[in-house]
Parts: sequence; structure tokens; C-alpha cells
Amino acid sequence: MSKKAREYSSQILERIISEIDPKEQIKCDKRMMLAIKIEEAMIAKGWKKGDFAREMEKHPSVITRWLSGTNNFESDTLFELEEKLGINLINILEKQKEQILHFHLNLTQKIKTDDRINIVNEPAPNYPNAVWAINNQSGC
Amino acid sequence: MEQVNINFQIKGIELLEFNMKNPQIPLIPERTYNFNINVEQRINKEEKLVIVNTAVDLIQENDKQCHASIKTSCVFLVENILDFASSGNQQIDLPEHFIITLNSISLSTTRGIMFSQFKGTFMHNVVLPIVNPSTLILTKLNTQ
Repeated sequence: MSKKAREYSSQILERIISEIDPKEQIKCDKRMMLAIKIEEAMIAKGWKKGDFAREMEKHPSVITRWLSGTNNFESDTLFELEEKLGINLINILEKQKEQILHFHLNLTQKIKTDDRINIVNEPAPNYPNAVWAINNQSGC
Repeated sequence: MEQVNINFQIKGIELLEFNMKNPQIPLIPERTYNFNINVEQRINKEEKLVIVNTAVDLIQENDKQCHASIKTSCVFLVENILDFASSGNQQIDLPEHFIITLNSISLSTTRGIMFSQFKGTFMHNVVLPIVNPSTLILTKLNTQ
């Protein structure tokens, strides 16, 4: 038996999806993202739902509703969540824009890279003298 | 000319990118390179920083190949940057000579880093020429 998921299409399902208001969809997505962020912060703190409920002085069922992504939060609740979880949920202070200046310059220069060849063609250094100098040094 | 005191210091130097490509054809001893220089100044007034990113592409004139490219970053702390904020406090208008000075320091630093990276390679004698920093042309001014 094949384990591959069967592609399912239904006219009813397509009609329901097409009836979703795009604005409502955006709101729903943002609520879900908010719930995910709260849950991730709760997990990062090492809290379970019960611990979180105690910290927030709420009934565990309230926490379940918050994490379901369907709750319409009041601003005071969000401020309290930010404080307890140590995260940022509302961006009040918009980040300052960065100012950028671009400069450009193109220049051309001829570069001689044959210095290495000249070194090779130079007369050999006087190695015997160097050896003599080393041999006459006192030991240390 | 009115004298303006600007208190600034260098906070960091970073080599962001470096690439070198050994050409497939034999190199001639006397080569001509096009130095394509792009400098970007990012002004962050909250942190009082001016970050100067310098990118240099070295294109050999004969084979038109990019033999090397480098990107460096110099970070400057400008203590009194807010003295140059515009009336609406939205934009920082640094004096032109100061902008040129920062570009100059960054180009010189990049020259040094290039030398250090190129030593012992086929690009050993290729040194970024002396550039009059005031000839750098402001191509774009934007905020993001």
C-alpha cells in the first residue's frame, strides 16, 4: 500500500477557502505568530502551562486560550507578558533608519610585476664570506 | 571657514570578504589593472557610529577577469554626531571634509589589508594606488 498522501481536492473546501477575507486571514496569521512567540518564550524559561499560569496569576484555561492563537489580547496583558517572559511583543519605538552614502571611483594603473625575475638574475651573494663570519662567532 | 571640532575614534577594522582567482592564461610581467572602488558610509546615529565599507575589485585590462576582490569595514565612533543632526533630527549632515577624511582612512586601511593578503601570491606587487579621496563621487544617498 502506498504511503504517499493522496492529493485531495473538493469544491466545497475550495469555496470555503475562497470566502476567507484576506484581512481576516492576516489578523489570524498574526495572532498565531503571537501565540507561537509566547509559547516559545515560555518553553525557553523552562515553564509548563501550569507554571506560566502561576506566574501570570491566571487560570490554566486562560493560558490554553492564549496559546491557541485565537485570543484577542489587551495591550496591558501584552505589556505584562513582555515583562514576565523578557521578550518584545509590541514594537512601540520604531527603529531609526540608517543613513547610507555611496561613493564610487574607477582608476587604472600599470603595475610591473617582474621584480621577482630581476631578483633571480642578480649575481649570487657571496656565501663563503657569510659562512666565515658565522664560523668566527663565539658560542653562546 | 568655520572651524568644526569632531571627536571621533576608530572602533574596529574588519576584513569582510576576500577573493582571489588565479588566471588560467599565463600572466604577463607588466599588467594593467582597473581598480573599481566602491565606498559605502552607513551612519547610525543611535550608536553614534559611522561604518565605512570599502569594496575593491581588481580587473585586469587584458583578460577582463577579476583577479581579486576585497571588502573591508572600518567602524568609527563619532562622539558628537548629534551636533550634525538636521533641524528635524531625522538626518545627519556630516561636514564634507569629515566624510572625505573617513573615506581616506578607510582606503588607506584597505590598502594595507590588501598588501597583507596579496603577499606571496601572483598579486604580490599590486598595490592600491594613492587616491585623492575627494575624487570619490557620491553616487547615491538613501536611508533604510
